Amino acid sequence: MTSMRKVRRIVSAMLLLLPVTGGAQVFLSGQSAADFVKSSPDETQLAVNGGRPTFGWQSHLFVDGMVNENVGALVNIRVTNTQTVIVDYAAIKLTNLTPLQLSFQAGKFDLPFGNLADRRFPRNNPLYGIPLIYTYATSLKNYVMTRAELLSLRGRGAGMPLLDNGIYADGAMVFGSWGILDYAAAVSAGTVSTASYSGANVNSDLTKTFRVALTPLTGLVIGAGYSWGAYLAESDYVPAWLSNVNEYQQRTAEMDFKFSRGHAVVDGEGVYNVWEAPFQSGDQNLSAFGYTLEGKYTLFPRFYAALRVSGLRFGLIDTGSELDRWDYNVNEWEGGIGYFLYKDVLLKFVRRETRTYGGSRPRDGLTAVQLVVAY
Amino acid sequence: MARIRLCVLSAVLPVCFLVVLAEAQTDSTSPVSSTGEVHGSIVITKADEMRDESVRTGLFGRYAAGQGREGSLLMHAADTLEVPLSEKAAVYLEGEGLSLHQYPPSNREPALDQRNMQFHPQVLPILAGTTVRFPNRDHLFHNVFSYSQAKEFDLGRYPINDSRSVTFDKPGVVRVYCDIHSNMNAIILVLPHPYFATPDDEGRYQIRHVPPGKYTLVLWCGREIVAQRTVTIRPDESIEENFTH
Repeated sequence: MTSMRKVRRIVSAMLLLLPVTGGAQVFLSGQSAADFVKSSPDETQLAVNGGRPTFGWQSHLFVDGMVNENVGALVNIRVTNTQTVIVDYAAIKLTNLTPLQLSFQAGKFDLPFGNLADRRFPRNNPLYGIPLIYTYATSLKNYVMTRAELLSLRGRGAGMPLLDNGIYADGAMVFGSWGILDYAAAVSAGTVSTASYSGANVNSDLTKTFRVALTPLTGLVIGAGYSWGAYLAESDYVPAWLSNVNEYQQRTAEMDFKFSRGHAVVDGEGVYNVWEAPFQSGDQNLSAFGYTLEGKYTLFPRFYAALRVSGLRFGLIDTGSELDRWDYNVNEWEGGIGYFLYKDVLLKFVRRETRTYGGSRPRDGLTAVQLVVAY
Repeated sequence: MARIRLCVLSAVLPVCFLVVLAEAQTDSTSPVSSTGEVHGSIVITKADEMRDESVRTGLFGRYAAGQGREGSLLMHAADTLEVPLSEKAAVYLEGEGLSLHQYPPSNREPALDQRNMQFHPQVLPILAGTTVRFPNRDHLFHNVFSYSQAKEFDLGRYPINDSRSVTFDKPGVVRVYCDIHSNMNAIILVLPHPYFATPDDEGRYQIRHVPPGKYTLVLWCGREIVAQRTVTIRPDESIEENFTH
């Protein structure tokens, strides 16, 4: 099925389904971005199109089918220049259910983990990329690997990220507020690292995710989350010596904050993650820590400057002869300026520098110009 | 003799002062001594024009769970508000003669409140040179801004009961938004003269002290002009113009 036909079918289904409920309304909105990117010439995950000057685009269509103020079906459709159509979000959402004023959603949605929120979209992201913890693919895959294979893939971007892009997963979630406290609990297929490609559960475990967020004063949100679940896929590749893939869990904890005042907005997030990895010579915990700190300041109307620093630190593994990191540490900064040509038309200039502590390519750079329209 | 002169001066000076003051006050609203007025009522039967932007919820309510106060609000809550006529409509006159005079702005500073995730009022007519306050009445941040040609500003984020002020010197339409809540929008009509009125909740309006002449009477409702008609104002006359839209 072609991309356009897929989109048409999804939107048609929304439009046909909802009016039968009576007062239903369907709202369409979206964001589109066109960009020009030039990265360092390479084939690593940090390079874009081998470093050749590249034009790209992406479109996000948001379809809100509202039965009433508290009942809706929400769909996000993402189309990119690779002609890929991805349904990121497709959930039924019920808010303020009596008597506890709880809210509920089921379907495919973003897990309540971290504070990326709407910064994943180009109009809301002050820069071009999103933080390393959401994008940088480690050398660990979600099937059983040997130590040699794991080490050989360091810096190659072949495995899972700490947090899977937008962490969209199939599942169910309850959430609500109590005073200054917001809370959420979700059960999902796929872990925070494998959410996007574990739509149909790849093992018999479910991932459990909890999050609380405090708002001690207006403009300051402090959040924390914890998530755990089996990350290995049950497949033909599971070796005979491994009894049960569900015993190997991924455990992830994070803390984040968002502070805003005047013309400044600062977001920060730290994630500590452990994958329990089975090796024939003995199981090992593969740990990783990632952080990101992002600031945006509106210098004058229409014009802002933004800076983000991110990093990843990987734990040690016994290689047989010595202790070494199971993937290369990475540091990155991304800085840029943005100018609103109109209220919903944003032009960005961004420069990114990445330092990888190991491998053949220690330094990568990227320059991007992006034009964003929200509608 | 000197005493008599002093008495005469002390009697005449206050009178002169009062005359000058009275003339100055008359000048601020009425360039000519004999004026007329226009009054009438407004009935709006069509859908609320402000909604076309209110429904652009997009991300609003989508990434809400556990993201803190700003994200834990109801989806589309703002769209369900009934906006009274007094908050979304304005009537004003247009005519070349009206712009020939300088009208000192009033000392009163009108407010555009941010309350319940909406601006109140949604349409605010003011005389050029007026300073408008933008108090935040919500327990969350708003970021009021405008990129309109008549006035560009960005007030940043400030907490409940805090306020910022902007002076609007240039006549024109200023479209005001919140950078955090895309459903929030308001319009400030910066007019070059004081011949405008905001209707009451029943839709009654009155524009007084209008210099005689031929003008266009404009009804602005929601986001745009919804009706206009030619009126002739005569000295000491009050004409009635009713709108049904």
